[in-house]
Amino acid sequence: MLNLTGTQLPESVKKLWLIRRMFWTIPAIIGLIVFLIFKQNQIVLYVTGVITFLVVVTLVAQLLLIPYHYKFFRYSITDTAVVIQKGFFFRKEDNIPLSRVQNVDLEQGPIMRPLNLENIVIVTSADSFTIDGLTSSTADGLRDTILEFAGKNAHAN
Amino acid sequence: MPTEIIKHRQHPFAIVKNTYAIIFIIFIYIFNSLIQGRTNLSRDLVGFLLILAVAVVIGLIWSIIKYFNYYWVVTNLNINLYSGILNKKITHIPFANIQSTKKTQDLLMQILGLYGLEIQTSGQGGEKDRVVINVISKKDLDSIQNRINGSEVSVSSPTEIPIYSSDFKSLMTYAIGNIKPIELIVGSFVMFGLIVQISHLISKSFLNDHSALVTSLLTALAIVATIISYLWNTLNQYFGFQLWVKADKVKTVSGLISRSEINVSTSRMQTIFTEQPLFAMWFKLIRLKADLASSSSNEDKQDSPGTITLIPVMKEGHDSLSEIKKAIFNLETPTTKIVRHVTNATLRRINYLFWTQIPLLVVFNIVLQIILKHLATTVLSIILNLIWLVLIILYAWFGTKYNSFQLDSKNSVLYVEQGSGLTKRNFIIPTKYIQSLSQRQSFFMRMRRLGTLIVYVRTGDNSRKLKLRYTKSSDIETLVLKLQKIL
Repeated sequence: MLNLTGTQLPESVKKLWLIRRMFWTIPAIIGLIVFLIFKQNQIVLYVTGVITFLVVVTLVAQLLLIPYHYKFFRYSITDTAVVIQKGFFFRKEDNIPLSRVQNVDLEQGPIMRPLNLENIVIVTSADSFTIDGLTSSTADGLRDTILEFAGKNAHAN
Repeated sequence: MPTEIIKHRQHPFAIVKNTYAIIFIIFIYIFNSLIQGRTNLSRDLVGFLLILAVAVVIGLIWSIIKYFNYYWVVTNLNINLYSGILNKKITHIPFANIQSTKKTQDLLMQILGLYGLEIQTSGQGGEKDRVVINVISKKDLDSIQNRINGSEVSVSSPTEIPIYSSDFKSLMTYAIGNIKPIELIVGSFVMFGLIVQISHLISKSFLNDHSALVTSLLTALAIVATIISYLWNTLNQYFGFQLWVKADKVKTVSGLISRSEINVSTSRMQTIFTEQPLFAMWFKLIRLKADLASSSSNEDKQDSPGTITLIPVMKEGHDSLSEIKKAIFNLETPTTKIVRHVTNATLRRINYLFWTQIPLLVVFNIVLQIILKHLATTVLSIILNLIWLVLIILYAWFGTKYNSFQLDSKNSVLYVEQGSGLTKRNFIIPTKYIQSLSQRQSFFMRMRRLGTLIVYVRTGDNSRKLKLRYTKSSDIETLVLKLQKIL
């Protein structure tokens, strides 16, 4: 069950994840500043120390997990569904029937633009599913394919 | 010649309706003063009443402005609602898109012959799909209702015999069984405080009496009062419940002091499910609910906004249940017993205890030490912990005992049985309403060839995620393959 099949994300998505996860350094830096300013106050020192420690641990873990997340993320389109697979130790597979697709959105934030990456969001009437960081041309192609298949499936039903 | 546009407004009673709460506070304050023996109004009280009076006046002015800026126009196909004081808003509701309607009446409105009307439509979901007219006259209500009847939602004349009416005894039995232990504890704490305050007003020396007998009596009184308040809520909400089903329409009427009438088209229902708390299982009583594709103002706070109560209480296996199932999803009662795929209960129990209940027990003990510092003796602490542990074991046993699923032979309906808390739920989901599927599998589960399947169904503006935990991987694969072919 849940064996990895399908297409991998482009290599450049690792850069995107790296930049995004580096935002964790902001609270760590703020924590460090507060730590330095209030180093006389024991309570502030203790609380800031604990929070900064947790943030740094999370940051390191998030950075180390990038190759893992990349290696075990796959997406594919079958005749009837879009399949998104994630993870190895905790595996997850989303099946989105094409006949249930309401709309497909493309998203591109400021960090994604220079990297020429886009998110594709597949929306059903109950939930939405995101494929993170596809190249713009792939995302466009995928959107068209999903919409085409979704249209056919909807008519077939 | 252009047709004249008729603007309909709410009944003027809408202006004063929102000041109920303030008037109530004034009343309580005066009552409180009288109990305390202050027959003459003190300066403090006059000051307080003045502030409240100013608040009432401001509230009234605001209500008047709002009243004149809130109106609707009925056309052949739509009802167009105009609202907003600074930011104007127009909501166009095509009659054909109306999912359900709900009429409400509190005691005063019943005396005055007025109604509240809520219209739910199918759209993106949430507040955008819901229009509420707080106070509407009978004439205007009938006019809107007639237009809706011409389109989608309409059921029966009041003279037709309902297919189900609930009885008082079952209603009360179910209500007692539906009280959650945690709600009872919190409710009793609040009630205890109230009782002590009221007792203090009656007798000033009362609070000085800390004897164990008085405290125990007050605690018992608080628990009884909490149970009575729950029973009252149920009674006020569901007294005299009646249900009609005609073609693809469902209508329910219920309420004691606050009456409500719900009209809904069965084609809007995504899922129906029965609920049965542990206590109600002994009496073989169930509650029937439905998930709609639009949000509604559900009075049962335990549910999401898209869920409505179809039947507050009925006997298990009642003839009306199969009639309702047939009417809603065109379901025949299966002639053969459904063979269910049962999930691994032992693993679920371990997981449930470690991830949900043990952390709660730790939090409970911390709270016990902090809040009840002066009260909590070692013996009391041990007793409370033991009660909590028994509850945990009961929860773990119950929550995992009922966990199975089955697809019918035609692959058209998915039956899911779930135990959560101390309540058993049986879902009936037409596969055409399943929106997507997700599978989860941890390393630990993979070694035991188990997995979790999540079925997404739309509920209001959200989704109901039905988790089939610790299920055999092979069963999940078979189900997913079957569903992929038909979805």
